[in-house]
Order: sequence, then C-alpha cells, then structure tokens
Amino acid sequence: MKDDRLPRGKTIDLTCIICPVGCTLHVSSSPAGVSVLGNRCSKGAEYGAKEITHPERFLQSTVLLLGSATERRLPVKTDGPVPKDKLFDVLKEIKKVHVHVPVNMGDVIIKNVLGLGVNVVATRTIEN
Amino acid sequence: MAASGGTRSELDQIAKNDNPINCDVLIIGAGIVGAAAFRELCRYKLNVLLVDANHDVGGDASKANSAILHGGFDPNPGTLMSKLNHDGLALWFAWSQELSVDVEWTGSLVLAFNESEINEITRLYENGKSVKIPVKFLGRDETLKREPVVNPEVKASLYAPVSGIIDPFQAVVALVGNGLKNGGRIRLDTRVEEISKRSDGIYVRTSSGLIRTKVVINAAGLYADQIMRMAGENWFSIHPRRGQYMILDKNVGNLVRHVIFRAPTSIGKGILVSRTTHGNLLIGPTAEDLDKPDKRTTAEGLATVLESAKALVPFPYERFTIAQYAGLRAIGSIDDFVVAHSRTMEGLINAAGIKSPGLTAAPGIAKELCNLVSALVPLEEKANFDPYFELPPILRELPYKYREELIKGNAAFGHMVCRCELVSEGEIENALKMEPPARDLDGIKRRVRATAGRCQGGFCMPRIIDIMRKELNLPYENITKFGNKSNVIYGDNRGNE
Amino acid sequence: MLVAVVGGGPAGMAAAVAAKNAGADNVLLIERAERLGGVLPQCIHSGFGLNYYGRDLTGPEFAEYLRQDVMQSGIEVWLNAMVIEAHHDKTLVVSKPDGISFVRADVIIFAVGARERPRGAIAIPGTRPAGIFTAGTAQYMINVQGLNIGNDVFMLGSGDIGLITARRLTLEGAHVHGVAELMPFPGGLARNIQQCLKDYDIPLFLSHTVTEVLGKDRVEAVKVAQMENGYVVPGTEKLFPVDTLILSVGLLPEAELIKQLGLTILPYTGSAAVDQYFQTELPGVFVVGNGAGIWDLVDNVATSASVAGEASVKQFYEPSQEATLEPCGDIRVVLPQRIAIGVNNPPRIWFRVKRPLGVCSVALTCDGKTIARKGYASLRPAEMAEISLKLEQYNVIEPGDNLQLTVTPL
Repeated sequence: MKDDRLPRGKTIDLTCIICPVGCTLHVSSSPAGVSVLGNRCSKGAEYGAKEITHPERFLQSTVLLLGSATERRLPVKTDGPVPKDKLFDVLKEIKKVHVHVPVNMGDVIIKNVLGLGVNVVATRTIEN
Repeated sequence: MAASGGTRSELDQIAKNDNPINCDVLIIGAGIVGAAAFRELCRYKLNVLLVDANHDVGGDASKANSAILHGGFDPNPGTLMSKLNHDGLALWFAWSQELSVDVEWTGSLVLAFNESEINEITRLYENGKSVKIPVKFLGRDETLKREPVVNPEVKASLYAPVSGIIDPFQAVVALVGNGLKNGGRIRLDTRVEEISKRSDGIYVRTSSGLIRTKVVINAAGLYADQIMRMAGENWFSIHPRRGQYMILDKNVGNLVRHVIFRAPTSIGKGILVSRTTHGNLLIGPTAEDLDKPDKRTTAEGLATVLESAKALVPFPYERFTIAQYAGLRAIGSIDDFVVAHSRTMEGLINAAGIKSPGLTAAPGIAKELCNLVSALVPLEEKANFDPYFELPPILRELPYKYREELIKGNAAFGHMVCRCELVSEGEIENALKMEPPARDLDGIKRRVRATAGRCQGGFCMPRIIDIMRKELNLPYENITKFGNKSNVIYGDNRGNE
Repeated sequence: MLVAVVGGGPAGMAAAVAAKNAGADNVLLIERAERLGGVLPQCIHSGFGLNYYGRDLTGPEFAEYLRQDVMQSGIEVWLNAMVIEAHHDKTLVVSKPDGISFVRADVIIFAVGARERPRGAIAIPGTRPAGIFTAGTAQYMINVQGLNIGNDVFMLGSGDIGLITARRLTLEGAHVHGVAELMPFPGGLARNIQQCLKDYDIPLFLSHTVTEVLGKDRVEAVKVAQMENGYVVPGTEKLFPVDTLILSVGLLPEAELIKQLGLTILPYTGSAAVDQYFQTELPGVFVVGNGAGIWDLVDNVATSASVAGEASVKQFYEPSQEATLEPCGDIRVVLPQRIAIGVNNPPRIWFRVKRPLGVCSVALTCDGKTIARKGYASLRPAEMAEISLKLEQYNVIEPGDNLQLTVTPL
C-alpha cells in the first residue's frame, strides 16, 4: 500500500475522493500548517489535510451469511473511516465472522473492530 | 507410437490383471462421424461403445464449423467424397425428421465476381449436373433478385436449391442420444493410447481403462492418423486447417436468405455468409494450414473474415459480432475421404480425412461403415430398434398452452434464467439430465443456448453455476467451462464450502 | 389504472414509487431476479445517494431504502418473473414459477437496465478458456455469491465498474496486475482512479488494449500492447501471467422488449427516443434508467425515473406537439431526444461528452439561434451533466423544431 504522506515543505496534487466531482487538490505543508487549494467544498479541504497526515478510508466487504434461502453473503461497511494501513487487518476480522438471518441494515456485526473506534455494520436487510 | 516390445508386454500385463471392458464395436471419436456410426450400429444386435477424449460429445471440428448441408456439387464426381456427400444429403432429409434435428433447406448461392470465378462455378455446375444434383446458373440480375443484399458487382452465381443449414452440435447430441436409447454405451474423457491385435480381439488401452473389442472404428477426426499409426498404418497423415468464424447478433440474422459462398479456391470453399438455425448470422471461415492443432483466433484472421464477408455481402458486421471462434478441419494427405478397412490391422476400420463436406456426408459415411463392419461381424437388426429421438422441449418455441403445462409440472420451467435466448431453469435442468448430459457450461450452452446469446452469459452464467451446483451436487470449484482444467471458480471466498 | 414497471432495480423502484405517490390505482413491479435492487446488491461499495438521499450510502443501502418505499407504498411485486414479450396494446407476457401471465397495463415503464459488452463484442483474439468475466458479473460472483473467481487478474477497460471491481478483487486477496484502457484518458471518475488504483499501486495503461488471450483450459496470460489509430505500436507488447481477465468495456441498454414495440432505436443510446418525461413515441410507454441510455450515478437514475413515474399517471400530450433534440460535435449522448411542448414543467436536459474537456460552454440551439447556454469548469465522458431549462427558454421552443446541443471549449 502506498503512503501519500507529504515531506515537509513540499506541494503535492491529490484527487479528492469525497464525492464524484473529484477535485484536484494542491496540498502543501509548512511549519505554519497544512494548506489545501483546489477544493470546491470544506469537506475537500478536510480530506486533503487528513490525506497527508493520517490517510483514512471507509471499507466495505461481505461476511458469511447463514440460514438464508437465497443469500450467501451479507454486505457490510465500517461506520467510520479506518486508517489506510489498517484496511487489510480489518478485512481479516471481517473474514472471520459469520451471521445468521434475520439481519437488519445498520446491525452492528463487529463492535469497535480492532479497537479502532469504528463498527462493522450490515448494509442490507435480509429477513430470511 | 506403434506397439513396441515394451508397451506390448505392459499391455499384456494389464490384460492379465484388469478385466477389460468388452464390446463388439468400439467407435473412437464422438464427432459427427462417430456419432452417426454409433446411431446406425445400435440398430444391430451388437455391443457398441463410443469413446471420446473430450469432456462432451461433439468432437472438435463438429462443434466449430460452417453448419452447412452442402449441395454436393463441389467434390469431383467419381470420388468417395462426392458419393457420400450425395448419400448423406439424401439421408439428412429422413434423419432430421427421425431425430428432430434443426435443418432448414435454404438453398445456396455461389457467387462469381470475375472471369476465373465464372469458370469455377461453371465447373461446379457441370459437377452438379453429372451427379444429378439440381443446380441452376444465374446471371447478375437474377442473382440480385434472389438475394438483393449481395455485392452488386457480382457477375453470376450458381444456385443450388437442395442445400441448407443444420445445427451440427444438436445433430451429434441427437445421434448419440438415439444410440444410447437403443442400448449403446459411451465413455467420455477417454483418450486412446494404444491399440493391439490379439487372438481374442483387439485390445485398446485408454486413459480410463482397457477395452477389448472385435471391431474398432477410427473416427478420431484430427487425430485419426495417430490412431492409424498405433495400428502400424503409416501411409496417411492429417494436418489441421484452421477456420476462424464470427457469430453475429440475432437482430441481423435475416440479412441473407441463402447460404452465400464465394467461388472456391484450391484451399477451401471460401468465406461464406449464412444464417444459423438459431437465427444468428455466421461469417467465415479462413483457411489456414497449420502444423499442429491451434484453435486461437487471430487479429489477422478475423480481419480476413470481415473483409471477405464484406466483399460478398457489404454490411457493417463488426458492429453486431457477439462471438468469434476457430475450428480445425482434418485435412488428409490424399484429397478424398478415407472410409475403408485398415491396410495393416484386421478389425480396424478408418474414417479419416473427413474434412468438409463431412457434416453433410456423415449419414452416408455411417451407412458405409456399417457395410464395412458387416464384413467382420454379422449384422442382425434389433426387433425393437427405435429410430426416433426427441430433444427436451425448448420453451421459446412452444405455444403458451404447452409452456403452462410444463410449468404446472415443474415451476423451474417458469423461472427464466437466460434473458437473451429466453431459457428457463427447467431447460437447464433437462440439459443436465438428458442423455448424453451436459456436464459443463459449454455443454449447457450448446444444448439449450443459455450463455450463447448477445450478452454471452453476463447475466445467466452465475445463475447456471448455482443450478449446476444444486443439480449435480458439485462444489463451486469443480464447475468447468469445458471439462479438464477449465474451472471457472477457485472456491468460496469465506471458506464455507 | 394499472402501471406496470418492468425491472426492480433503482430505476424501476423509483418509478413505481413515484407512480403510486402520484395516484396510480395499481402499480405492478416485475423483477426477473430473486430479489429487488437490480445491480445495487452487488455494488457493495459506497458513493451512492449523495444527491438523492443526501448521504453517502453503499449500493445495498440505497436499494434497501428504495425497497422499503416500495413495500410501504402498496406496490405489487413479482419476483423471479421475467417479461418475455411486450405488445403494442400494452400487454406484457410474463413467465413466472407459477405460470405464464398476461398483464394488460395502461402504462408500461421499462426499467430493464443494461447488459455488459462481452469479449465477443470487441473481438479479442486468442483462445477461449475459462476465466474471462465482465466486471458486473465478477462483482455479482464475488459479492453476492461469495466466490473467488481469480488470483492473478488483468482488467481491460477503466470504467467505474471496472475500477471498483479491481479494488474489490485486491481487498479479497487477488493480485491485479494492471488495467488497460484503449482511450488516452480513463473511463471512470477521477476519484476512483485514486481510491481504486493508486491506493493499491495498480498500474493503469492508457492507450493500451488486450491483443490476445492465451491459455488452453483457464486463462494463462494476456498480451497487452499500446495502440495508435487502431493499430498495435510495434515493440510495445507485454505479457501478463494472469489466470483471469475482467472486461469493463461498456454497457448497452437491454432494448429487446422495447424493439418488440416497433420503436425506433437511436444508434447513440441504443434505446428508444424519449421526451423529458422519458415517454417514448408510443403514448403510455416509458423507458427509464440504463434501459434508456447509460447513466453515471444511481442518484440520477432514481431522480429521472421518478419524473417518469409521476408523469405516467398524468395526462399525455399530443405527439405532434414536440421538438427533437440531437447531440452535435463533442456531445456524445443527449437525453431526452424529444421535447414535449406546452406541458407545465420546463425540461432538464442530460448529456455526456465524447472526450474530457476543460472550461467549456454548452449551448442548446435551434437553426443557429441559441436558446440556452451553460458554462462548465470541466466535463468528462464518465459523467452525465445537465442543463435545466428556464420557463422562458422552454417557451421559445416550437413544435417541429430541430434542436441541437453543442459544446465549445473556452
């Protein structure tokens, strides 16, 4: 996995991933702090700053579902961002668990995964 | 390859230790020739066994060819090829009815665009006349009237009303199915490795066991010369001639009414434009002589197909193509079919070098093979031979009343799986249950058309895999496209299977 | 009044709910699969719903919200039911596990989605082994069936579905060796290039394509080369030892049922010409979602399908009262292609460009006269952009006008 962390005093260009617009962000870092240009909204500025200090991603995957007549997997997501370098560790946890029907969208499947302060939650309701 | 001292003793060993499978007639190769021979020999009080190296029937060439019933004007009069083409064509009239094989007598046009091509079709015209096949010479205007879409630069054409199109795979399935129904047996994934004549019969060592038989029919297509060499017969050799094809969307299937050929050259009948019995358009083949079997399509080959098809019937084919494939024709070292007793091993009968028009000639070849077999073992017809075979119902061809009845019997007939070709789950179940059964995705495609349509399985393939898993009780990782190591899936991604 | 909606994906569900809310007595939603949602249940990634629901949702969540609306609206739903024929008198023939049904509808809304272009449509030479999948099929197999379909993967095409599938395969443990794109620019959104490829060091080869598939039984390798004007650039061929080839080379509207009604099919959308309510030339027959033309975001699909659903229960206008609209120059696709005159709401015009453009201006013109104009900071082929006409702009358009949409780089 690539680390986009910025050496101090340099400017890099990033593609903002917050929304489909995909702004090109010019992020520079100096002793005074991090500055972001090119963003069209405040979320973009936040993303740009975070991306060079502690990049994070939301993660989606599936867990083994048992007891359903038609479905074999339950789609899940993290309800908060995960540090980029922890994504594969979280996936390992996701691959370990299984759930039974019925499941509701929003049900917590793994609470506070790896102590990262985020939960893995169901993204689909599967009654049977 | 021929039996050396070492292998012979090895074979003797096996013969002593194993109980060989016994039969009266062993047919090597479940392509159209082997399948037709199987069907015909199962008429008689004989123990007939059909083997093939592949995972399904249909051989190699028989499932990748032009799907044409040739008028019989092409082979030179006096050749075996000419006679068997003629016999085969006549027999397909009856067989297609007995076996419910899709055949349409569309007629064919051989187009000529210059003087030398006019000379060629004149020769074909004379061929046809001499073997009493209805052929007609058409001028430019008549040609364009009969088939308005052909290139207007056409100078003349040869019209043969008694020629048409067939589903070659369905034909193989029906022939094998009819043979099975009449007591024949089949073994697939069975490659012949050695043949040895002994006092108590011919012993054939295969990848799935030893077989002892009175008669062997070599219908091994591209590999028929290898079988001959196993019997010490070295005068004949085969090389593959590759033909690349393009299949087009059903939306343009009705571009032409006839099978459209170009006047032949020395290496083949040239590129054709034809409808298939399923309503697709077919263009091809190229004619590329190869040293060894190679079923790859190539950018150059496909470009040749397009260019040559456009010269016959101008049309933007590339916009409607849904699949491309290559077939290999078995080109023998003599320019005729070999259908004869082996020169070196009594009891072996060769059907070798069966190139085009082998599909058309297959029933004729089968009858000839029966004659040859009768010289070795007595042929006594079974009293209860059933000449008929019916494939499982194809729902899209049925009136709603009958579909309704089928659905009442099995809800799976109401559950549509393939959108493009409108195939139900019930039909896929049938393909897996019928004789000979589909055992892989391609086998299902060729029997009931699911995944053969314009999306090529994008929607239905995962669903078919689920049906196969359920019906055949197979884990996902054992499901293949065409047997061997053509596994589609590497397993359950959460380790639950 | 019966509104029959063919297809239970996002477009069909949104149209059905809108029709019911607009006062349709009966709404019947017919879905061929075993579940509602269309392709959304397999699109487990996020990025949906920002416009339609105002929050970032995954595909299954977006589908779940729509499904709950469907269930609460008193809409009749048929699952495992496929429409096998559509007739001009608005009769649908439906095959279901309990028999063949004939549905005589007052309105039909086709929300039949799209199919992916297979290998055969782009004629990649080589062998025909197992291990070649279209990206959407791959997503279904990985996310819904829960299968491992490949360990070493190459991808052709850089559309969003492809990029997301590349990431998904990587997260599942596969090695994605690279993505080739025939065009000199990526097909997908910039953010997906970042978060699906760059995040995982997956190389993107622009102006490249797969020139050959190798392997007898299963894919063993693919040959990839740089292309220029449709030809391989000599010496650029590379061999990737992979067991799987994934194709993300475009979608085509599933227009077969629409064709059965005798409607003209536009070559650039692959579907019937629609007006701003997504009504076809046949009054009471609507086409929405990817079945009408390929959209970028499910939000836009749901929004536009709702327009159709609502309009389907209102008065229809006279077909003679319409203008036509066609794409020109660098505009590849425009929706609608017909504009009904004298109805209450001014239309919203959706379009896609052929190539990436920087600052530019898009103009709606008639006989050289500009009716509306809108400026854009940038436009990309992957995105559906839009212009909403103002009432005074709309009122200028007259029946029989041939309107054109053009784009000018500034």
